[in-house]
Amino acid sequence: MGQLAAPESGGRGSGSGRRSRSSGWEVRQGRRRRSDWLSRILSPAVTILVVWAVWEIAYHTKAINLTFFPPPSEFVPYLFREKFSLGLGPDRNHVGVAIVSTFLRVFGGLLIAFVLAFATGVAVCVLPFVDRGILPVVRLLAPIAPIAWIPLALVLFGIGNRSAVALVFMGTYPTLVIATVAAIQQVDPELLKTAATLGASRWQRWVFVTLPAALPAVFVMLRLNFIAAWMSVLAAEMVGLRDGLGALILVGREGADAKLILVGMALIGLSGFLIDSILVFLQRRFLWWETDNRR
Amino acid sequence: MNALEFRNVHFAWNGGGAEAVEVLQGMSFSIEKRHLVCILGPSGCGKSTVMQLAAGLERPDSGEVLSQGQAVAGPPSDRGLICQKPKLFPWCTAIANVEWGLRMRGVGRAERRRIAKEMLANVGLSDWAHRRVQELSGGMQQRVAIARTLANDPDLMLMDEPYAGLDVQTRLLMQRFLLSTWAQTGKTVVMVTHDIDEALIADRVIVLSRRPARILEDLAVDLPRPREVHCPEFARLRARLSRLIEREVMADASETGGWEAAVDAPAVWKTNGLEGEEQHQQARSEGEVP
Repeated sequence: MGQLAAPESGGRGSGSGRRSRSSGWEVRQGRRRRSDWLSRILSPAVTILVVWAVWEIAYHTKAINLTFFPPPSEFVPYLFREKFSLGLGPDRNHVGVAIVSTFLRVFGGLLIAFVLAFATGVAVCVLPFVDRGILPVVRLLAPIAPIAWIPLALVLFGIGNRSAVALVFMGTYPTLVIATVAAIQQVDPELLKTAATLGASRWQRWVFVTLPAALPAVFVMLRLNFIAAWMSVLAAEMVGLRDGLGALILVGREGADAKLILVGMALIGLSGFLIDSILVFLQRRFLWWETDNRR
Repeated sequence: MNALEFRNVHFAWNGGGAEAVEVLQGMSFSIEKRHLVCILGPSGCGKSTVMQLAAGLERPDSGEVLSQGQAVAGPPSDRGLICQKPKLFPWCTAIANVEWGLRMRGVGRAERRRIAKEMLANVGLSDWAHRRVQELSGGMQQRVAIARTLANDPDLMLMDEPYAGLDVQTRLLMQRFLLSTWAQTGKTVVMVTHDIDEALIADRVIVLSRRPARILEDLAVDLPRPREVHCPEFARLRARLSRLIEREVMADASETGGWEAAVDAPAVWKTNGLEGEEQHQQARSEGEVP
């Protein structure tokens, strides 16, 4: 923490720095960001290393029986030995294929849900009959856990990608509609008034004020919902779909292959983390104003 | 034809179905074109409501609000409103904010860039054009908001305590800029303020009472610019405004309660009271006092 505090106080000291572009203010800001970045990478790395070390020691000294919970030194080489190709018989697939198919399912479902939920949310706010006729139905659907949709999705869409996308959609769409309506209702009325006095028409206020003002809050909701969508896809892959990361775990269970199960778990954790990082990146890059305001 | 006219305007706030609060009770005034008029009144008296009505953001319960002889219906294109808070669009850079109104009107990209740059230069923010508005200080944000309204080139500028959040130095610069813009372009400016000295940069000061707002006094400030603070006429106007406002503030404080200690305490400024001054004025006009 000390390394963070020092450059910050330096920045505060240069009160005149904000006046001109050529001052050292940006440099200091940049240096602070860099050290901040470094500590954000290092801190979790330390935690992981400690847990890893304890795990390895416990396994190799046989202090506890960890036959069904092998540490990375056991399951990572397993992945290499199998040439990144895991599974049994006809379902044997490259790990990359498993990851990509899970990614596509989750992103496809999220994208469709985000676009349609935003459109529905706008319709709810503009058209009174949609507000009265559709919003209550959406609120009725929202509490149904995505995992509860699995049997129905498999019956309706069969075993395949359509089922997975439908699951993600059902798991996220209702919540996103509610989030969109809330976000639109929370748009600062003063901002809309300002837009009106600057000569914006009704639809211009929608497109150029309400939309950008509401988007970040909806996107945050999307990120929170991603976890639910991710879990429902994995559950579906375990139950019915024959490929993807979830199927790896099922195959491992059937073959009592602890290493395969742990490879699957590690990949699920890493992939989920990666997707969330991508969403955070998208949020910072394209919808930065909300996060900046909260600071 | 008047730039702005209120005809017996009544307006009440009904806050969420609770009992309505009477804000304006039959307000009438008219402001001629090319005039610089200040509306002065104690805090919470309904000054901002007057601006909202003039801008067309609120409708009067009864009576008429006219601009250029036309009834005000909905937000304007020839009237610009500047509020106490800048309310910039947070997803835009400073220059994109200034361009915003022009963009909505379909002004071409090159043309609106040129106008926006000029406006930003006028408020001393050329170097900050491409910064995100979050990087700007509160005072800078307010200057961007003023540039944004001016970029639309409104005939009537409605300013609702535009400089209340600025520091004294910036406020002085902005006042000079306002006066020169007004003198050069011949816009009509109506500025709401609670600052007596700021009100006295105007040609005319309309003093409002506490809520429900009535016009207490309509004073012409018929003095050459720049204003001479030590000239007796100026000092007289200033003292008169101070007394009017103090009387309203004290009356309001003793009515609402909770200010007993302040109400009972001696006055901050030495004033002779309005009645005494009125007698003095009367005596002077009758030639008894030099």
